[in-house]
Amino acid sequence: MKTKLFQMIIIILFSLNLTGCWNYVEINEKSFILATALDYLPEQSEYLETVEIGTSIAVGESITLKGEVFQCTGITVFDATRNLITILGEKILWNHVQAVIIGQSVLAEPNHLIGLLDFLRRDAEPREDLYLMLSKEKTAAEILTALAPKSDEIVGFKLQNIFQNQNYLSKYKAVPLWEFIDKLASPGVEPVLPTLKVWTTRGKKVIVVDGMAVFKKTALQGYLDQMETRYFLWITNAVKGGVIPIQTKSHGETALLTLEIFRSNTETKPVYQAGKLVMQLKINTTVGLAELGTAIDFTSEKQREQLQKDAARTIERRISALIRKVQDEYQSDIFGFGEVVARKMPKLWQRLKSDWTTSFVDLQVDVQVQLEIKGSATIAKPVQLEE
Amino acid sequence: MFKFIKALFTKQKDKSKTAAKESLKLSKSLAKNLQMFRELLQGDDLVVFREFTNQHYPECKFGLIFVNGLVNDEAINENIIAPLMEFSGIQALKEKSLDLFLKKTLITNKAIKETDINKLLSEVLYGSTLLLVEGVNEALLFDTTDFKYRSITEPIAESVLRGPREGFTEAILVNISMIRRRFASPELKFKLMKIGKRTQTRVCLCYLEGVASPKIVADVTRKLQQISIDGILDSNYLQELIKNEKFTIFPMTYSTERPDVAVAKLLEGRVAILVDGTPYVLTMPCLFMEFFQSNEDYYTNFIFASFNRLLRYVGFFITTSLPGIYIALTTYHQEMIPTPLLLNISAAREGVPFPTVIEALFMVLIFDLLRESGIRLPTPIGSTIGFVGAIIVGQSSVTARMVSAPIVIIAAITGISNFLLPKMLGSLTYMRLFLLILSSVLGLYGYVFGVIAIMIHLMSLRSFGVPYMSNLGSLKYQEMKDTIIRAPWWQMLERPRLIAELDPIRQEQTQQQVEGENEN
Repeated sequence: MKTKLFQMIIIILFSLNLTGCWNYVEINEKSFILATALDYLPEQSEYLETVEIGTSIAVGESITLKGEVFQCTGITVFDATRNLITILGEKILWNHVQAVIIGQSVLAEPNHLIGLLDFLRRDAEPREDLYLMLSKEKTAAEILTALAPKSDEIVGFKLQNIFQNQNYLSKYKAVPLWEFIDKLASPGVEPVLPTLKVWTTRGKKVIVVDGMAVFKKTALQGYLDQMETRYFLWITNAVKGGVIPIQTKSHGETALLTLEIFRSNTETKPVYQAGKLVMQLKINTTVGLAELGTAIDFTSEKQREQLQKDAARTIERRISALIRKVQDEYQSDIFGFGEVVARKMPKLWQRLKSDWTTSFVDLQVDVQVQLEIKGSATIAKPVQLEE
Repeated sequence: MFKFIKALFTKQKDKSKTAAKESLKLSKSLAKNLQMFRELLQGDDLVVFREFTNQHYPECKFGLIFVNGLVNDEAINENIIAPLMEFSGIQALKEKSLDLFLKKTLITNKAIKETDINKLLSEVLYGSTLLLVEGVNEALLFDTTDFKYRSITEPIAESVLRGPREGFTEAILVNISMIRRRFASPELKFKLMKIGKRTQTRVCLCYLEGVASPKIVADVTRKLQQISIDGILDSNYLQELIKNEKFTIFPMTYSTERPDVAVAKLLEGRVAILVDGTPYVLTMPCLFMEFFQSNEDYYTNFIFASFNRLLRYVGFFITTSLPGIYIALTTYHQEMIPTPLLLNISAAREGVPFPTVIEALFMVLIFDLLRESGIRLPTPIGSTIGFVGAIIVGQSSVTARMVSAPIVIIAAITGISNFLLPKMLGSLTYMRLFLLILSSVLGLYGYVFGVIAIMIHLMSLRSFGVPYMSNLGSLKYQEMKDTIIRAPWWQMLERPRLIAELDPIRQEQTQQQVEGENEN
């Protein structure tokens, strides 16, 4: 019994050593990338990788987190990543990357973008839900270095916050890695990316999301601004909140008021009649009165109905205009109408599939907006002026 | 080789001793008897030999043997010596009939006739008084035991906010009385035996007839009788001597200092062993989940008690796994830590010279060190241990960058959770170290392998034939009712079936309860 036990202990002890802790690395011996910007340098035929490394500086008892930016070049993305070791002296990990900013120069050659996406998807470290975005500045690196050195803010966290809180605004779209790759691969839908710009306000640089880039597979077709992005979100049933400023005419005077979106639902239905495909968009949106720039009381039934109608017409018009713009200028089905057809009318899709772009450009889209005003926040009557 | 020689020697010794004692017998001569006892008890100056005669019939001589300090002097003087001296029943004196003495003159409630020298000796040395009469080859034993013992106080190790406050003492009879007082039923049996060749320690086996499994009672009795150790000073001697699974880190018997807990265990059909000289009473068979139960669970509202019960399971997880999981995450699976936390840990570790494993082992051991040293110290010095632990080890080691702050937090939480299961401290420490080392070698895989190994071991254990993990994997309500939560008393309908196999029904469901359930 005793010798057996002894032998077992010996065997276990030795076998523990045989595994050799192959993956054991102390946490402070690695660097964690929080955000990456990728540009392509055509002269050198190399990628320029700019990374933001999260570092924390312990001063006495308090610890402050800071982002530090490093740059390195490489023939491929992974090569550039490994080349960073020469600068940092530590292996860098992609596990905690929050955002990847793609520079315009990467888009020049489709294979450059594909190489980047393949690396992000193939490597075990990056998460599939990291946010992808496109720089509208000359290089992506400009975005990443915009805040430094004046601010200690970490761009990676900042971008993550911007995209996680987009629900309250609905003026830009967060595109995770998996979604972009998914859309590249599936027929009947084209990918989009949010675009970033650097603004200077009172001598301080800030990063803003100014809209959306429209792609046709890997080719950049053009941009949409913030309000257009809102209507894009509306069409794709992605509006979760946000405010709509509406100009309305009542009693002969123009009033500017704001509606806050509570809930919105969009139904997309393809209808095939008389040899023609028509997309029917039914949008049901519940809003509340949020800010009235007039003394007119919109809580009365009549006024409210009037307002609902006015606002619905306005939204309808703008959505139709956006669809037309995308059809005419970009010829890219970013709304995923093709996918809807494929799902709901598979037989028809088999016919249209091969030449969907042409069909999309000529596609008739009927937009129907139902707006319901529910609630007027904490007060019923608008602010009254003394008569 | 050594063993063989040792065994040879011990056997020889034993034989010669017992042979000598066996040949001794009480003779009819008082002087001879007294001389024999004087020789047997030679060297013990506390033994008193008192000779006296009857006033009316001086030929009738008496001899008393007792140990000074263990006996009640008043009882001997008033109830034994005085009546015998003044007894005027000449007939009885002439006949020298012990029975007649017992019937007519001796005013003691506990007296027996005995001829076995060994028994006489051990009784005398425990406080009985031995009466020898001239011309009689029998002796009378009176229970005059009266020595001081610690008064009944609240047990320090098992204090409760609500519930009975008395705890067992070192005197076995007092302990038995505390159990009996709670249990006015003849089904409760007490079996006294003496264990320990030299100490002759009184041990009492206690069980509820008709509920406790006879197989288990017989098993425990047999094992107790087989013990041939020289002395028993605490119940842990028995705990280790009678357990089936010799090599396990888990306690296979439950021990308590509280009579209410002991009675609750007896009611569930368990067997209790009381040992003279220790306030710790053993109960068996023992289940793993017993260590998650506290007697206070049953004295407070079941909703609150269930919360406390769950807390103990969480504490068990934390105290065994937290250091291991921390190491696995920080050294192998950094992707599983939220980013800001990761950066904080990374910053805290900056400049720390040791690997995380060494840090963790160091801190976990330091905690055990502080605990162990704190227990033995007198209370006034004990508080300094707290200061030293908190300030020097905690604060200074972090500011001096000897260890990182997170590991101090981990060690502290681990240590505090430790005390949620105070009766399992030893096993918890081993499990923690086991999982910690495995995690440091293989990451989360190692942790999971460790958990699997512990589970396999636990599942294979049996305490007196009852599976150690029983009822933890059950899906029957009556078997689950007292595991993860503490069910209300009106739903405690059954005793644990594997232990109380003779009578598993604790209470019948009353009409009121049935109605209440239908309403729900």
